[in-house]
Amino acid sequence: MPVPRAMRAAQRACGLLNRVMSVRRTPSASHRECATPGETRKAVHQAIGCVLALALLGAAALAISRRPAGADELRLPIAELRSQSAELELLRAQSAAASPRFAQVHAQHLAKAIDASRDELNAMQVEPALGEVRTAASALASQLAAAAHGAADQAAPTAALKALERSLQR
Amino acid sequence: MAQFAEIFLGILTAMGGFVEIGELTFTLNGGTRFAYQLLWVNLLGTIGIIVYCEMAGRVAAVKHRAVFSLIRERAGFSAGLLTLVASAIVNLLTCSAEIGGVALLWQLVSGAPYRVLLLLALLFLVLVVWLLSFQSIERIFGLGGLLMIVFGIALVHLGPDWRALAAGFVPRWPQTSHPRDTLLYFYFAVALMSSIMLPYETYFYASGGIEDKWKPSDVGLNRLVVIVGFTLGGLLSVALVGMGAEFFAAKDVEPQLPGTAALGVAATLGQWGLFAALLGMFFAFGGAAIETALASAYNLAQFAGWPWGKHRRKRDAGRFTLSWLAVFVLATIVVQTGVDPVSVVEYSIVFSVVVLPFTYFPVLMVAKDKSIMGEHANGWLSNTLGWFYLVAITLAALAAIPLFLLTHGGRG
Amino acid sequence: MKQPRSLDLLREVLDHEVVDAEDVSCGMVDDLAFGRGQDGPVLDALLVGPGAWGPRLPALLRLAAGRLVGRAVVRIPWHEVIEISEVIRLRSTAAELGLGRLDRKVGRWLAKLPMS
Repeated sequence: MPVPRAMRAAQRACGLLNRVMSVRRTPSASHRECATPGETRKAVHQAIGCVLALALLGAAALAISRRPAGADELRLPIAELRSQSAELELLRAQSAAASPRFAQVHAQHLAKAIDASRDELNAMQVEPALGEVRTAASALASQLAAAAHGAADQAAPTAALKALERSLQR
Repeated sequence: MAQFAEIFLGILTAMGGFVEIGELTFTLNGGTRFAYQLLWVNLLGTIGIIVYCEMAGRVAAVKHRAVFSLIRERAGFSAGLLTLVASAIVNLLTCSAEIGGVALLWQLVSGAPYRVLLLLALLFLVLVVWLLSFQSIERIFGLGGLLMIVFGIALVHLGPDWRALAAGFVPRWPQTSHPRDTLLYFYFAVALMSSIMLPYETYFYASGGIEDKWKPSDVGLNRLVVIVGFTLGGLLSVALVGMGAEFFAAKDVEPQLPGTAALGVAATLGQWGLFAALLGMFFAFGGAAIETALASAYNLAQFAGWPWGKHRRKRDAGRFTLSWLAVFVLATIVVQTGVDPVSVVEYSIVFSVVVLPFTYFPVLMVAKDKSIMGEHANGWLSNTLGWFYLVAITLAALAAIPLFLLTHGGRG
Repeated sequence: MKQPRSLDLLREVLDHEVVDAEDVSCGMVDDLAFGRGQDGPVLDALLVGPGAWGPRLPALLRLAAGRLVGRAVVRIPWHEVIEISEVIRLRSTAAELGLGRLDRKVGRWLAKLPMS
């Protein structure tokens, strides 16, 4: 049976690579032969199998991520925002105990984390029944982000976020 | 006198090197969410790491064999290669999280840009490993990590519920308000155990025994250092659970940043507590970054049969030296992409539990084999505990990924 | 070489560390080469190198490994082995047998750096 053209090309490339990568020979060193057509065929089948498996996993992950978020999923970024809001209050209360530089940099870290949680919340596709809750949460997230980015007069909406989180836990 | 000093330093080093960024995050959050209900896992994990590090250290002292060459011999080439690749990925992710953690801590003190500090952290760690001996690195970072004791001082200052704390060491079904929280509890149990029994600790400990040229007469020293040092280290992790339960839970804060942990100490002890916590975390994270990079290089060199060890000149262990350099560089590249170090280490801890059975099985098989270990083979206690933990970590390995998925990546 | 009465090649030789006359690690036994003796197959040599462990991988990984690290094999004649214990001890040095070449090459490069 004639060897397919692709396999002949692979064998020539393999031979060339071997000559490029070969080490200086000594009496005790030797090279094995390049991949046989059978090995190359098996490798191609395994590569196809791996690609198919990855594609299936990717499709499953995509299908799951595209599903509208229910109460359980919506609660997660709200819980994170509630924790971050409480931490902002703690940082403001403890600014005397921490050094000014620590307080400033930690506030920046916190602001970045809040932005990430807010973006996750805003990007979520939620079930129609949860639309109002998501809108309320987004408004609170924006308020929290403003407070975290230095608006000292802006209160951290911890209590409101906690109430929203509780409403989703039922 | 010299031997007493050696034992004392060894114990303190083991204690100070116990905590890293992943364990810090999981213990604090475990305490915040579940109070003291997970303390039995701390106890279980601490005993587990004692059992297996003692065995690996004993094999290193008696047979001068390190873990990964045993893995290849006992489990074969394919299983060994799979374990090597999996542990390399886990070590790389852990190393990148620790480097990111160091840069975050430096930023909290200096205010300098994070990405610049990442490069400085890389340079610092490379210079430390290049210039200092193995013993000096162990001592400096192990003893520096003892500053984490400030979390214990802060906990005592808060006046914890000692009865609830003691009750937490007894395993019981979790008291939660929702089945979802019960799943999260078991996720934390698996993750906490994994963070205490991270495979790199055993690889590093056993290879370190060979670096320190342990002999059969050092078997007793190994046992003492591991039992006392890791028990005291376990107390540090109990203190972190306590901080979560007593301080952060009351404030409704789930700590996700290294600065948050330090803020808890600052609020309790003031500015001196803040700086002690930051410095302690620096040595803990820095030490863990060095251990994971060296552990990766040890694993690769032992699997492939290359000359290895910090006790050799770098030119005499060329590929080993290039390996740990490469791990540091790759780890820095990972965090330079902007990924959150704490998220990275959380993923690596959950996936590392899958690697644990492949790491510990060969150690147990060799340590209990009288034809190899002679009079130093496992007694009935080591055998019993060894088999118990092998079953426990296998069950944890099977449960890890499903729990991770069911709890939305451990978020709830 | 001290000959044990029987030798389990899979348990006691394959995938064991190879150590040279200067007590330096110089590879792992990646495969075994047999010849034809009067009474059946006879162990001829130990094989070390990617060309020896490559065929132990699935085909796809074998091909990838061949491209990345080559297919060199070093053949250690059986008479070079002087001891089989936890490690396989050799009569000659790694350099004499053609083992550890890449380590020596990397070592020469590292030697240019300070405190190496």
